[in-house]
Amino acid sequence: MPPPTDAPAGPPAAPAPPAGRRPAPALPRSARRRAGWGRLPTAVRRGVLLAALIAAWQGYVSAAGVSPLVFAGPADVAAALVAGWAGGDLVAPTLTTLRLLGLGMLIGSVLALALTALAVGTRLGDDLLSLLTAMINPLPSVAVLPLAMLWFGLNETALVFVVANAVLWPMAVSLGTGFRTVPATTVAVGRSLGLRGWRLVRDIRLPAALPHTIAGVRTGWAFGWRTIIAAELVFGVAGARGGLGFYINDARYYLDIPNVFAGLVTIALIGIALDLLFTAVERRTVVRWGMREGAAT
Amino acid sequence: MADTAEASAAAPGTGPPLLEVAGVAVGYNGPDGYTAAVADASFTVRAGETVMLIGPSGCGKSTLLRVVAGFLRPAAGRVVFDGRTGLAPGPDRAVVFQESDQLLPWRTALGNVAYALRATGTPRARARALARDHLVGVGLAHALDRHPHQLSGGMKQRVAIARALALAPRMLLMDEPFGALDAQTRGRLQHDLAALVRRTGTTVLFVTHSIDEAVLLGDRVVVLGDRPSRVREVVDVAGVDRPDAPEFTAARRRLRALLAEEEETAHAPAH
Repeated sequence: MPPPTDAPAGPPAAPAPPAGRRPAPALPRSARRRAGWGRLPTAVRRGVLLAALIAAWQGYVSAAGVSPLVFAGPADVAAALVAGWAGGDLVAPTLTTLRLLGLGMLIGSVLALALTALAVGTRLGDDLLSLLTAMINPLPSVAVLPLAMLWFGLNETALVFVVANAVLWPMAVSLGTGFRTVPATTVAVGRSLGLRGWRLVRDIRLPAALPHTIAGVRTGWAFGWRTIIAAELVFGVAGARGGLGFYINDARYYLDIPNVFAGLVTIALIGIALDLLFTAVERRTVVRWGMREGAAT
Repeated sequence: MADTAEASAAAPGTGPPLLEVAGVAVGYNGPDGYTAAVADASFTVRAGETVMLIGPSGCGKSTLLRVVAGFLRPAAGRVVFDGRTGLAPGPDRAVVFQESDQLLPWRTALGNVAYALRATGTPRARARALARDHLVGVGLAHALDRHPHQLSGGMKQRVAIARALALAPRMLLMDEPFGALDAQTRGRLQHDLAALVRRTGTTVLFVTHSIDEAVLLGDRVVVLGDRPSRVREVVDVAGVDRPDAPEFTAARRRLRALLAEEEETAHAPAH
C-alpha cells in the first residue's frame, strides 16, 4: 500500500502549547504593540510590573508616613516572611491549613465521585444531584460554619466538614458533566472490544472525562482554599495548632502588621503555586492530547 | 433478486453464511413511543464476502449494522452470527465508525491499536509489535507516535482500520467510514481498503450512502427502502472494481434507479 500523502491536520510534532496569550500575527494593531513593550517575553513584562508595584508600595510607605500599626512596607513584609519561614512560625500554620484542606478535599472528592456515579447511573440520582447542587452551590460555603461548630464542636472536624462541603458540589457538577459528555462512539469502541463494567469505566470513561475532572478538582481546590482561610479567621484556634487564617488574626491582635502581610503573601503564593501545578498537569495531559484547547493561564 | 452469480465457484463467499439476518425489525423507544427504523430486513453474508448496505438517508442501515455489532437488540426477527444468536458487542465483529471519536485521544496511533489488542488478551510486547505491523500496513509508519488530534481525517480512519484488522475479526463492520472525507482521500482509502480486504480475506459488512463506493468495494449490495425500511433488492456487483469498466456503469445505473424509486416517496432529499 502506498504511504498516504494526505496532510496532517495538526502540526507534525507534538505542539508546545503557547505560553499565555499570543496576539494573532496578522493584526496591525498588535503588530504595533509588539514593537516595544509587547516584544518582551511574558516573564520579563510581568517581572517589571511586579517590581514597579513593589516600588510604588515602598514609595507610598516612605513618603506618606503611615503608622506602622496599620500598614507595613515591602521591606518589613519580606523580613517577616523570611523570619516566619526560617523560624518556623509560618511553617506550622501553613502545614495545618494544607492538612485540613487536603483532608476536606479528599472527603469531598470521594463523596463527589459517589454522587456522580449515582447521578450518571440512575434517573433519581440525577434529579437529586441537580436539586442539591442548585440549592447548595449558591450558598457561600463558610456560611455553614456556625452549624458545623454546633454539630462537631470547636475542633478540626468542623473545619474539615466545611471544606468538604465547599469542594463536594462544584466537583460533582464538573464530574457529572464529564461523564455525561463522553462521546457515544468512544464508549461504543470500548464495548466492541468486549469491555464492560469497571474496565469500561477505568479504560474509557474515566480518561475521556479527564478534562472535566481536572477542571472539577481545580474549581474544588479554589473553593476549598478560600473556605478554609475564611473559616480559620472566624474559628480561631483549633486545639493547640492554628492554621494560616488563625495566624493572620493572631498577628492582627498583637498589631504585628508585617506578619499579617506575610500571612497574606503566603496564602497568595500557595494559591499561585497550586494553580501552576494544575496548569502543568493540564499541559501534560488533556492539552497534549488535544482534548482541550490551550492551557488556562 | 439479482444475485445470480452466487454459484460461481472459487469466488469469495461461497460457503455457508457467516451472518444471517432474517426478518429483523429494529426501532427506538423515544418520547413519542416506539419508532420503527427497520421494518423487515433479511440478507446473508458469507465468509470472505464484502456486502454493502445502501439506502436513502435515515433508512436504518446504520441501525442494522449496530444490531449486528451487538449494540442494539432487534425488536423482531433473528440475527445469527457464526451459529450464535443474542449477540453482545465483541472483537470478533470489529467496528470502524465514521466519527473521529472512535480513536482514544489520550493514546497515540500505536497506543490505540496496541490497547485494543491488549484489551482483548494479547500480551503487551506482542500487542505493540502487531500494532506496529498493522499501522505500517496502512501506510502510517511515520505517524506511530502521534496523537489522534495531530492526524488528518484520512489518517485517523487508517488508524481505525488498522485497529479493527489487528483484532483479526471474523467480520469487519464499517459504518460509513469514509463519509466525512474529501473525495480524493476517500478514493485512496477505498483503494487501500480493497487491497487489504483482498489480502487478508476479511469478511466485511459495509454501510454507505455512496453508489460508487458500493459498486467499487462490494461483492453484493443490499438496497434498503425508505424508513421503516425493507430490503428492496440485493444486487450482485462482484468483480466490478474499476470505475472505467462497462459493468461499473451498468451496476451504478441499476442502483441509482432502485434508489431513485425510493426517493420519489421520501420526505427529505437523500444523497
